[in-house]
Amino acid sequence: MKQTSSLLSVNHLQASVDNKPILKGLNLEVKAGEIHAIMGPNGSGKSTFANVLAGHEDYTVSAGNIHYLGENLLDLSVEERAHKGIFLAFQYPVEIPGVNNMVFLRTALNAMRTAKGEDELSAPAFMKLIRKTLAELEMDDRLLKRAVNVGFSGGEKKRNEILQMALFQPRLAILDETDSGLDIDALRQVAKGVNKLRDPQRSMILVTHYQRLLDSIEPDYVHVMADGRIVRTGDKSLALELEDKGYSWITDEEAA
Amino acid sequence: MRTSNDIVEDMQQSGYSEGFITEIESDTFPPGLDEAIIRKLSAKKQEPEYMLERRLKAYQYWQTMQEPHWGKVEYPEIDYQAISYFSAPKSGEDAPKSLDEVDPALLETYNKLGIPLVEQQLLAGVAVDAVFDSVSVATTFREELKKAGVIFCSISEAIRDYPELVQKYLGSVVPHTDNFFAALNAAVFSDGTFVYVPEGVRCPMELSTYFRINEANTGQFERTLIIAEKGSYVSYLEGCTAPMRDENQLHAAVVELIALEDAQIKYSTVQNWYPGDAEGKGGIYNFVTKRGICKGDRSHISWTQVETGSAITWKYPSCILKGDDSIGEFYSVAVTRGRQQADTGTKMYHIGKNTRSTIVSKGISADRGVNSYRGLVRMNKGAETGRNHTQCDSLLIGDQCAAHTFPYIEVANPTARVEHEATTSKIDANQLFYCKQRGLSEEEAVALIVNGFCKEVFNELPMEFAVEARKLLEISLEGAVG
Amino acid sequence: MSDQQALLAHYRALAQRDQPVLPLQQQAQQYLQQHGFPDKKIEDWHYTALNPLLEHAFTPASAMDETLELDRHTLGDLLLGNEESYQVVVYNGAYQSQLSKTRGLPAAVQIDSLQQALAGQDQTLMAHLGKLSGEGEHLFNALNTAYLQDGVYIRVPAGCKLDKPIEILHVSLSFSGALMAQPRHLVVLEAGAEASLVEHYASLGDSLCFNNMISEVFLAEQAKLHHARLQNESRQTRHLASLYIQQQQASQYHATSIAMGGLWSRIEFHNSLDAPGAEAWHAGLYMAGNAQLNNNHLKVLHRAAGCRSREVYKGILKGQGRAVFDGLVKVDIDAQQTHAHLSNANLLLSRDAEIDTKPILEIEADDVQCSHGTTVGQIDPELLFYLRARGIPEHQARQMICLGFAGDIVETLHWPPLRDYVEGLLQQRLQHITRIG
Repeated sequence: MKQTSSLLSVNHLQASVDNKPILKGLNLEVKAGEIHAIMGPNGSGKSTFANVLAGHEDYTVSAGNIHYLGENLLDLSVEERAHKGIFLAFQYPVEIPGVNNMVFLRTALNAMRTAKGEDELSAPAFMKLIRKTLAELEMDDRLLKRAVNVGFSGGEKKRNEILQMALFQPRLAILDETDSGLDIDALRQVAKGVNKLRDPQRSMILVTHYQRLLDSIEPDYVHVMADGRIVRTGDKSLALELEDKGYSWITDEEAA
Repeated sequence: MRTSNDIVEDMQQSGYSEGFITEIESDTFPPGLDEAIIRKLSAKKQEPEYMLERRLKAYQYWQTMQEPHWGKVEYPEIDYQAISYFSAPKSGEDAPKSLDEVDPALLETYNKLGIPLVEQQLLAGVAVDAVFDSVSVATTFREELKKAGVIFCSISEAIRDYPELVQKYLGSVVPHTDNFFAALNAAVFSDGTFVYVPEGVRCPMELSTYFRINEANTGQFERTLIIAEKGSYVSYLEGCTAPMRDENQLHAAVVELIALEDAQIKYSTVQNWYPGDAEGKGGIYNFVTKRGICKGDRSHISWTQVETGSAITWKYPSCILKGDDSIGEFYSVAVTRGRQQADTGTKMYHIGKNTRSTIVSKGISADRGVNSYRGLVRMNKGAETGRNHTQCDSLLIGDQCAAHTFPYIEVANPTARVEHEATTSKIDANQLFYCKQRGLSEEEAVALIVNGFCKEVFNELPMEFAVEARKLLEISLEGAVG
Repeated sequence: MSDQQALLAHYRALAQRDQPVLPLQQQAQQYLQQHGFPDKKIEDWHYTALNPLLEHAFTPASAMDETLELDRHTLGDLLLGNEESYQVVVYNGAYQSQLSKTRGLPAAVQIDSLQQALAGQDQTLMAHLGKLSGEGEHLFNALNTAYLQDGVYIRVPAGCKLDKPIEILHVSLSFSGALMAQPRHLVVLEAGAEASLVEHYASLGDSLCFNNMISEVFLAEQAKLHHARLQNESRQTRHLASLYIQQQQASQYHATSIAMGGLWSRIEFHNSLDAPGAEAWHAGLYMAGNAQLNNNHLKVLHRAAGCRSREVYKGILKGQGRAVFDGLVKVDIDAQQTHAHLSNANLLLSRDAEIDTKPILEIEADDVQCSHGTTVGQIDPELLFYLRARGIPEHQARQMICLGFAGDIVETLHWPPLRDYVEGLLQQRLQHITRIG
């Protein structure tokens, strides 16, 4: 493994939603360029963790801390986190009626550029960039003409998330169950996109329920979550073992 | 003894299974209404002074009021002086100690109606406070309820025996100033039901009352008061039938529900009073005021109604959601055919924080029936994160009927969320064809589709009631198609 | 005498100032003498608080001897089309021929001052005027009719398809106090005619004005009209518009109503589909803030078989804004095979905003497909989170969501200059939406 300083450091994180504790002391270190898979049964707190990292206001952090690029992440607003390179690929990307996808992408990109002190991209420059990005991802431009996610199929919504990730070039991408609800072809295309975005400077957290995504995106670490904590860490062989034995293998062991 | 064949014959002759008249001597006031009648009524019922005062006050107020005509219903003018305001079966004068003492003709009536008064009650676990005309004549299971601390008696008894509760709650949800018919009821109510469920008690059985209008020209003015103390639960069932008569009969009941902290009241109605003949002659005018208050936090009131009877139905079972996190529900099926008119719906007043309400209304119009949904959802300024969802569907059978939807939505809190959906259409021809291709007759197919249409509401009814309601719906729509 | 009675006497006296010329004016005068102001007890006025209308005794411009020579320069950018529209300017209710540009109009098409057309006893005009508005739906209608003076008269002959929209700019301004403008429009599209009408209501200053107008629109067989209406008058303006539309066989009416100006406004569409195959689309956007009260009334009557209508109204309420949506779709017993869908959605953006909505269906035919849907809510926090997670600042994200919400209504404005203008206005008005505290 590369010896680089930590990009993300999560310590004893506890978080709740509607006064119900979900995360109960989670620890995680992510270094630049690493890919971490977080697996676990439904309700173990995987998606909560993803949303806490992005700054969703329904989740209250009651204890612990998160350091990201040397800063206290919990002090930052949702959009500040985005500006600093945190990207959440949503499990259920919301539909935003009446907001054109192209306008949205350009607004978001320019908001990030402005935050970084860069000039806004002109319309032609943006068009050029998006054409290039689409070509790289082997996507067509149909999705750009419609309102954000409105009437998109499950696969189209996930592809739109990958397109945004490619466009915004984040430092830390969190993919929340990006594989759920996808057929084989859509899954392959999404995985291809993600692999293209692998970079020594970019880290990723893949939140997933199934092992199949990890066949196409090879992680450096596999963590198993249960009851709001990471209870087991290993390499990709752990995922295969899980596939074989089921989650009860680990959760039962925990309980014992 | 009458055989079941006789009963079947009765049904065929009348065309209305509940339409026969019981011959019992009645102790009835002459028609007309003035202060003297009210004094006489109160005296006859041996009421304490406070009740007479309340009645007189309501009567005086009623005289200043105008009969409302904003509903989408039409009927000839009602002559309130032509109505008799008291009628009781004579045998009820010295109340029977047991069922054996009950007038056999009366028992016969209940048998015809299929009311399971003796063994069936036990099996069904249902206590029946049967109201024949205006006075309770048979009450069972009171001992068992008493053990649980539940008071279940006629309102007349409650007025005498529980004056503190009655004075505190009667008229607290529906004051006599509320509307014309509520004022009239407050002045002349004859009898009705009183339920009190003490703190933390889950009422051990479904409570139910069968109402029956008899005696030509007798107005029926029921008064029901249900109080559920903190953390208690009660389910109340109400069902009605009426005999066939030529003169229109007025029914102006008032029902008040009070749910305190964490209490739940479930109020279910199956109403199949005589709707009048094919030309609308002789049906019941059903002008009812039903309202519940979720007074305590996390309290819960649900109204479920299946309205197939009456010439005119005018009722809006409502909820005042005062306690934080309280819940109000309204589930309704209303069927109008022949010349029936129904103007029904609900009002949900969201006052407390995080209050929720659900409205599901299914209207079915056939022949020349007119069915109107009229509802109000009000989110007050303080109704933080209040929620309402309303679904209101109308089904039209035949080209002479009508279906109207009049929703009023008022929102004064930006965190509240209100959603209202409504559809109106006829029975889908493809569905009909599909069913017929599978061998069902047109009538069977319609019954099947209509049942599906009403399913969400039937699911809310206690099981025995749901079965009855389904059957009722089928009978109500017989011959509507074709 | 109470204030209201004094006010009533004022309007009654006004109506009688001139000898009525037309029988319908006489009827309206009678109505005025016999009726008072509409009040809450009348179902159609249940949610319409009248106070801002009753605070002043408004007087017609012609009775105030107020004259200001308007020039095109004064109008600034309020006229939206340069060469892309036929232009008519109406000032305090009066047709301004010197400011109007109708050059190039096909010879048979009439765009005239109503006053002139009346003076000339125009036959089409006489045959249609007052046929839909009747002797008075309410007192203010009767007032307009009784005092009928001027407005715009448009006639498009059979088969004529206009190449450019007709743009009517209404401006009002008063120097001497409470002014009432009572324009009266009549639009007749003969069989197969097609036109686009754009009405823009604006103010030249924030003076005390009451615009009390009536439009009657007749669409003959196969006629097609696009009708856009932007009400963006100044803070002190009161705006009451009653539009009556009658449609013959297979005619099409596309209306878009954008209402965002004035202290008090009430816009009524009375649309009757009288013959088979007629179609009506009503799109509406209302926005109220700053103690504005905005009323939207829509009555669509299906009176013949096989007609279709679609009604979509959206509201955005800010500050202390209050709005009312009162929509009715009525299907008569003969109107089989009707399709009608009514929807109303509202965004509440502040603690003090309020919406009252009443989407009504009255159905007397059985072979119909009708529906309505209503929603009231705030900005969906999940939408906001998504946009912020993509780095878009919160206030900008709110603006985007609101603009998106209004988007499908704005899109129905099919004349690009108006659409762009409205988009600009919306962007401006939705700039500083803050979080609800």
